Amino acid sequence: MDFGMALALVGAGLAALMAGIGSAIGIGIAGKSATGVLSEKPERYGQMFIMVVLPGTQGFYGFLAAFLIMLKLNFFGPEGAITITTTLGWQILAASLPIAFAGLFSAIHQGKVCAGGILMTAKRPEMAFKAGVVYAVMVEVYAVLGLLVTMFILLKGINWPTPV
Amino acid sequence: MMLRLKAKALDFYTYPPIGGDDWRYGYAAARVRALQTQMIPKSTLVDMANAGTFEQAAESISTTEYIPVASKTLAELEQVLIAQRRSLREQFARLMIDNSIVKLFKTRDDFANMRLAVRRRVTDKAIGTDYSSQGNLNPEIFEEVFEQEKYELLGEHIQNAVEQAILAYYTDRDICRIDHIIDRAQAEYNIQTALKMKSEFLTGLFSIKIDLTNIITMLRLKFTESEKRKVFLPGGYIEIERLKQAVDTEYDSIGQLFYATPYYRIVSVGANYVGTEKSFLKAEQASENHLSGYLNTTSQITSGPQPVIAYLLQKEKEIRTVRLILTAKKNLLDKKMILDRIGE
Amino acid sequence: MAANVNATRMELLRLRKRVALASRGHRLLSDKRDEISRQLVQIAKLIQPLRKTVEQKLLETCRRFMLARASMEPEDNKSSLEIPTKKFSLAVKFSTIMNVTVPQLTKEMEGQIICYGFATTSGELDVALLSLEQAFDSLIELAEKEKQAYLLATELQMTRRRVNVLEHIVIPELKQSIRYIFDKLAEAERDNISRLMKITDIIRG
Repeated sequence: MDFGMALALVGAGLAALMAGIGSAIGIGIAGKSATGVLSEKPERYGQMFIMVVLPGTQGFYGFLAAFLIMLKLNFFGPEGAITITTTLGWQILAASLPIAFAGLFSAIHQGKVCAGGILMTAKRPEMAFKAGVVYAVMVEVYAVLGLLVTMFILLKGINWPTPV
Repeated sequence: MMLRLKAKALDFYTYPPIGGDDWRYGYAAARVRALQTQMIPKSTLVDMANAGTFEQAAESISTTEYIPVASKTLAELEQVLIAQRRSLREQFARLMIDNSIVKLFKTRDDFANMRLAVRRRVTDKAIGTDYSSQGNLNPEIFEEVFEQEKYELLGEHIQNAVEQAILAYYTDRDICRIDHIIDRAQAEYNIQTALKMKSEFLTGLFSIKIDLTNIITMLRLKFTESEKRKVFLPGGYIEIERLKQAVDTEYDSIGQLFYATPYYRIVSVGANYVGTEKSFLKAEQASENHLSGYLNTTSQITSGPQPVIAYLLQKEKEIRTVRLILTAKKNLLDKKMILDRIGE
Repeated sequence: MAANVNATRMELLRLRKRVALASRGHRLLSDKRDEISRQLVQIAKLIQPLRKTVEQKLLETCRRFMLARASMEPEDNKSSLEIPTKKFSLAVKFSTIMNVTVPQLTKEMEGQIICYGFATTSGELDVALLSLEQAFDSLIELAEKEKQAYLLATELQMTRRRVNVLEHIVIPELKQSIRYIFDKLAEAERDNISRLMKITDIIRG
């Protein structure tokens, strides 16, 4: 186990961790608002469900990025993990950062947007999808962009050594 | 007692800022938003006001939580509405995470109790126990407090108010002074507490309330041709000098004095109505509308104490309005009078 | 009455005096009746608008008060009117109109009627109390005038009955008695004369 591998694992960890924290906070915010509205209007459950789970996607993206790194490092292959140079390690860490931070912040803010959407749904249920979900999805776009950059770097930008 | 305010009247257009989100209040704000949708809409209130009889008016709100008001006498109606207000305040206390805000709003009842207790104290009546029990102080201690003059049991801010009020009464021999002193103490306490809590919203709210009270007071002083000038409350956005000047101005031109303030409409509409109809209905309606407008701006807040406080105040107003309309209907008052009074 | 009258000259003279007295009384009483009814009409004219304003003011007070009460919180209602500051005292004097004793009320009011602060009370309460204050002024006057009118009306009724009794019963009956006595005396006179003539005839004859 050398320094390169450590950096790669920090990258994988960061991707899953940061995006996961973001999603947890985001769902927490949206969930609190949703329960608040539901305690008075339980019939709105269906409309709110999607807004509560939307901030959860960032966690998945982070997990996906982390999983991809692990896959590329050949954790699950019969030959065992590949050995990587320190430079490669830095590259992998850099690749994980877009989704880690985009995930963290976009999830929190998406949570707030969703909470706002949920509050609006309490008053104007017909706008739930038109505004509430669409606006939340706009925040989602930037998490997706982060994920895309991470994926491009991992898949195209890095010259992976073949496992021995 | 210097009051420091962040914003001056010219720093905002109509309403002062309300501060930002506080994400601990996600549940409370959302719940309140859902509850707001169940409040009686203006159109129903207008229907009630236009209804031919008391029964028809009560019928209009039979689908809301006010069901039990139909076919009741006024005394029973009063009790129903008081119970409703009590449960509203309990709900507010449950939803509020900051206990200090709950305490601040409960202090209203403490001050109301003091107005009564001090009156009884200075006229040597029995202190009694028939006070509002929704304040922070237990009314049962009042007898002990006032008979043995242990005012320190009331807490510092109320102690000061009570002592000053009693002193003022004995200096001027005027019952009104008690109220003036306590009103002033209450206004100061509210603003100071809001500043201490660093709550932009509460500071704005109390300042607006003080301004509106001062404006109505100004019109009332003018109407009753009173010589009192020390009754204006400090801490509002409007300078007290301007109000004093307004008392000595003709009804038509009072509005001009407030042209640069957000209250221009309230003052001009209110003053004209006092001048022509000899009544404060419009002034009170306009000032309530102004306050509601400020409270409605809290709908920008997704999560925070502001919408919860706004809900408490709006709902209290709704209860008052229902009482007003039903009382008016029971006593066969003019429709116009009701419509001139009920706000948005 | 005519039946049990002593048909004597004494009685006749007495009755004549009584008739003269009664008709003088009648004249005086009917003058008094006219004067009382004139006074009464005057007072009644005052009462009507007064009553209207009082009723209107009280109604206004009631309405405003209802509105004020309904738009204030219950605890503020209680404290605001707990200690009234307006002092009110009423003194009754008596004077006479046409010999009728009527009360005259004088009131003394002191202090402000507004006994509360401004922050927690509604302006409508001011309107209600001021209009009550004005209503009180007229209310006292109205009470005084109505009592006067009542007393005068009773007096008028009594006087009118007296006038009527004098006019329609006492005087006619007295006159009837006088006539009766007069007739009776004339009859007796004639009786006497004819008897005397008869006696002279007998004596001569």
